[in-house]
Amino acid sequence: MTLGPAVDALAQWLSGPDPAWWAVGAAIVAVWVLPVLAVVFPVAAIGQIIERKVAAAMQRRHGPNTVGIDGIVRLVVRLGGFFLPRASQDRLVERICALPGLGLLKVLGLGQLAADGVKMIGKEDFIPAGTDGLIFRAAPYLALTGAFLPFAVIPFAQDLVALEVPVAALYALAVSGVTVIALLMAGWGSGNKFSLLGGMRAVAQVISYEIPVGLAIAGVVLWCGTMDLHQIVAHQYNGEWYSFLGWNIVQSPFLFLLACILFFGGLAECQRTPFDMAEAESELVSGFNTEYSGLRWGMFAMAEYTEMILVGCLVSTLFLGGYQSPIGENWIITLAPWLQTILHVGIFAAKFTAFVVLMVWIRWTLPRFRVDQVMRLCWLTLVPLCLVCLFGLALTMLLANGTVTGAAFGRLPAMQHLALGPVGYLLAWAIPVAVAVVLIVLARRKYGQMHPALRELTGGAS
Amino acid sequence: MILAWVNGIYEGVDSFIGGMRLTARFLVENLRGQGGATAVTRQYPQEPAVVVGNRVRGHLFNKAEICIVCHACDKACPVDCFVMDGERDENNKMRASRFDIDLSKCIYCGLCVRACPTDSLSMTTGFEVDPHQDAARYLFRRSSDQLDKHLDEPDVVRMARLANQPREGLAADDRAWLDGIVNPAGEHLIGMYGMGYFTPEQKAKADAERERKKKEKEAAAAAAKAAKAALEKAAAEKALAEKEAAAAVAKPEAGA
Repeated sequence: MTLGPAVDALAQWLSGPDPAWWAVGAAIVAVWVLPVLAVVFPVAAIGQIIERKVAAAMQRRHGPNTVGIDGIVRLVVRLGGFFLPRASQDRLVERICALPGLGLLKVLGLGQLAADGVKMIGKEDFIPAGTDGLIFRAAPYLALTGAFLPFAVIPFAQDLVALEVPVAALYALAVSGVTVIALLMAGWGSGNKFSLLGGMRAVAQVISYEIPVGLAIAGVVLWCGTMDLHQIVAHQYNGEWYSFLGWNIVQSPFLFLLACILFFGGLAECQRTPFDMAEAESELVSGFNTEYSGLRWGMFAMAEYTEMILVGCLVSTLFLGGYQSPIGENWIITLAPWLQTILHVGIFAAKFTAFVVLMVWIRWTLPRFRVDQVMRLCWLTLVPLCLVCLFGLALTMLLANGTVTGAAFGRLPAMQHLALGPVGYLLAWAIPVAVAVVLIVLARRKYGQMHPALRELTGGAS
Repeated sequence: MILAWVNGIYEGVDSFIGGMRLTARFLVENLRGQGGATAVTRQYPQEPAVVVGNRVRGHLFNKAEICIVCHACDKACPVDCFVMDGERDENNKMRASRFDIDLSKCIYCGLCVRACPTDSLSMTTGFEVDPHQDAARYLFRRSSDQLDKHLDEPDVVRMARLANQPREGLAADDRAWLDGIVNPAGEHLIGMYGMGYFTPEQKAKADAERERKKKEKEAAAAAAKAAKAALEKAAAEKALAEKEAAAAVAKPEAGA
């Protein structure tokens, strides 16, 4: 059984050609934790700065801009230079802070990250009376676990994937559902009606949105013929310089729609605005995390940002070619292996960070839905749309009726590609788009224009 | 039915894109202003603050000249931030010899201002608690070990004088005395104390005024006394003259 080249190599290096179970386990954990520590953690941390800066810019504020590096410098100088007179310490701090570059860090407010972290660690771990102790304490850990487990199957680069299991997509979908249990535990264990309501809402919403998300993933599985995320990435390989044409999202309008549905379903699953029913502060104080403070609350916040990244990772992997560059892979393949890995990780990080930014943008644009609107969007719009897309995708594959065998990157195992050819490709886009345009024109004729007040609110976009 | 469904999706996507365009426009416009120059937020400690209006409830100020030390503000205050002492002046009127407002306690409710019968207590528009600005008005009452320290009038005047000067320029004994009063680290200067107290200049002016009035009064009294004495003298002289005249008239009669 192979678990991916990096894991196999590491396990064999640890305990010989036929590695023992402990070596395999250690290798899996090592390869899994490496990108999480090196890529996901920094992006999750910077995501908060991105969120606050983007929100500030949209609302004509400054955002975090005061806590720079100077506080840390002052602390270090005070501790390290305790034998100096105070005036000399101050002069030293001023001189260090006057160095070019540190001012920019201050304007970006990057010191806010450290300040927030220190604040959360320093806070009292307050557990109110009437809580269900064990459940209350365990929930944040479970939330974080559910957020980090799926990263085991996400390919960050050609060799940087911990588990190349054949059911990777199913695994990611399944273990990310653990977060729901954590939210319910937090809601129940808090001994607070609002928390309980938040937890129940979270469960109802996440379970509902698992269906469009699962159907969207099923569409990709149908198209690529595999559930292995690494194989799905390889399926989107295109040897030409315009390699973005190999990505799933441009293969068919149905796949494009499924990508949108996966993104919005993922948005709902990680409880982000406009789907943040679980912590609707105008109704539920702060929902399931009302009673949490300090580092436990920080874990929930961390889990939220990690899940955002996870959604970005899944959309990028399934629809945007994973770690592949949009301008051809040939120039990357000629580089040294470690440079290839770094480039691939960088490209992948750029893709999922773009989705994080998009989520932040959406959050500061759309108001929160009502509960019934959230449910109606899921069951009456997204699920039927998913079924239509699946049907159209199957029809496309049936009509295209051709396969070709090719090996991605020149070294992955050969696999079946659906060859549409230029004419088939154009038809695969033209026919569904034409049908959609006809339907939309008919619908607009029958139901008229957008309400004038709504048009005014949206800046006349119609 | 299908058309209604399609129409719903179309309208949803349409309004979504409209909203996203709107916020994107805000984002780009605001970012273009070089690091948030279009932001309405003031970078307060670096940039000057905006004075909102003249009805702002800022720091308290007591006009010590017209204060009658009636303790009405003290009774109205929910947090007990006043400490005051009075003395009788030469006209037997009450006058504040000490009027401390602990602005680290004050909650800016304004009840004392309503209670004040002479309108000597008022709220200014000032709100800054920066020890480096206008230091003469910010005396040292902050840390708990300092709160109960009794300060006499000369001490307060001395502190107000010293607070105006940079610490390096102080004489050695002044600095040592100051260190005994404030936190040695000098970090508790944000405490407010004695907002309505006389600054040295004010005190000198008021004392000079008192002296002048006293002298005026004395001069007037002396003048009045002199005038009275002169009047009495004149009356006595007149009486004496009349007596002499009467005697002079009577003498010839007696002689005749």
